[in-house]
Amino acid sequence: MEETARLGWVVPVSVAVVAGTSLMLGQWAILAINRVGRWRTLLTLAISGLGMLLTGVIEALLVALCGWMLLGRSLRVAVLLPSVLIAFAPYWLGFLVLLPYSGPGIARALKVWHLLILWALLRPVLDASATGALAVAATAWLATQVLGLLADRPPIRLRERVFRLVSDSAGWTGRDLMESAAMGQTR
Amino acid sequence: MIGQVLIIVVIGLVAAGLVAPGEALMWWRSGRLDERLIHWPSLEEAFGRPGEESGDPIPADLPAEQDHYLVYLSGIGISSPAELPVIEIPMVERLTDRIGDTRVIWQIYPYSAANTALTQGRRLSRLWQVLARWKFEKTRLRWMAFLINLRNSFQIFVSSDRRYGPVFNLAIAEQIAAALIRNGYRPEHRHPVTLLGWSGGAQIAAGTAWYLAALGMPVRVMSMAGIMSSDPGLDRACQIWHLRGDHDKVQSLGALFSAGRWPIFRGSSWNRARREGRLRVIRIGPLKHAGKRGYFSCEPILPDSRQPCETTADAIVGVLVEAGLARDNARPDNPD
Repeated sequence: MEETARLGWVVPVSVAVVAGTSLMLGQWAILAINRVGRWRTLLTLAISGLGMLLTGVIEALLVALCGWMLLGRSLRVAVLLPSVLIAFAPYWLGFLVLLPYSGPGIARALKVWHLLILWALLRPVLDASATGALAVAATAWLATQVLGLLADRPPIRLRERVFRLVSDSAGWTGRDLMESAAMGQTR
Repeated sequence: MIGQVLIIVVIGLVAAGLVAPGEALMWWRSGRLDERLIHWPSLEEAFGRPGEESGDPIPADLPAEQDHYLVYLSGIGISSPAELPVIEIPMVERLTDRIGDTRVIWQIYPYSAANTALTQGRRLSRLWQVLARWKFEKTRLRWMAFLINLRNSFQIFVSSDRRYGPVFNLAIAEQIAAALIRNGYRPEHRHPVTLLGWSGGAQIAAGTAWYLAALGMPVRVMSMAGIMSSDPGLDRACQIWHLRGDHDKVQSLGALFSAGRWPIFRGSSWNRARREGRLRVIRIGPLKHAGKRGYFSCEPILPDSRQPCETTADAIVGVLVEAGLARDNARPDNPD
């Protein structure tokens, strides 16, 4: 019984870890711009996988909170977490974000796809109507996005700090490259 | 059967797209971290060749300095910095003859961060050699030469992408700076430079303008039926001219797919340049993008009894003369 329960976590956790790694692979440009070495690249990819797990835990917490607030249901995070983690499956295609020009659009589409799967998976878990499950899923998803945005803004800059630490790089982006080319320099 | 072919085509396109930024990113990774981002190359650097190849000998005398430099960036049909697509050669020769006080530079392959010809020094160069040959042969597989255009068009996406563009455009800007030095440009004199981009070359012109302006030169961008995005490089261009034919639907793709060119995004580089009067869209006549009545074609004769290619050349020269950058050698009332 315990073995079955343990194995039950393998699939959702693997889905989330692979999703995080694939999404980071899609953002390979940032690794290349910072000239991150091979081992640091592998480490960054692995940490991104774990980062997705953490995001899943936060989203599950928010789903529990929204479920309680909107539907009056009180569910344990451990019950919700497998569904939330499996809903990260679309991010397996995160490597497609690498595609030039269309990549950022694909990233947005994957986010919406994740929301749709979350909605579908939460319905039986919450034992709610389609509308109720959608309200919970969408609110939790939106709250996760907002939290992510806030964490990326100064002074927190969480993702940037973690990236710098793990990749041992300056965390430069294309924008930094352009800004460093000041006007009118000559030699 | 059609479904299977479609799947293979989509997978092929996705694979091509995934590898497209690779060259620019590998070029960037190969550099040194402490290097300055953009600088005028030394003569040795300007005459150097990519990779392990030995550079060209530095001539005892460089070409005489000119008051204006026109850098021609070819369309997606090009496969080597040493050779323009056949259809474009007469136009570049015509411009070279006609535009006075100006040096025309075309020896740049704007779709390779390392300035490496598709047909040399690459893992797939034999394939590209065959495809480049088929372009001019009457073979059933001639259509496959389109892969060169496809490969280059992915580089346009790389140039216009906010993640890869800064790296790719930096690489091409360095090539342009080297080409200017090889052609007698003296950085301290800061003579004006106009980047003339044909079709996809216009996007590269817009992207590189950012870095070339950083070198201190006054940069202007002339898009000849350009398929271009609202690139931040436009912010640093003194002037931008977008020349287009009345019947050219291909150049409209840039306006359609680049959200920054939609009027609702008032703060975009394109719309800001338009508001500030730096950007002008100039209709040059009843021309199409390619084929008969295309910008490079000699037929049919247009209602004003000019050839389409004459109309194009007249428009380019006219804009440069009007801006006070060059003389028109073909005008009888030329002051010289």
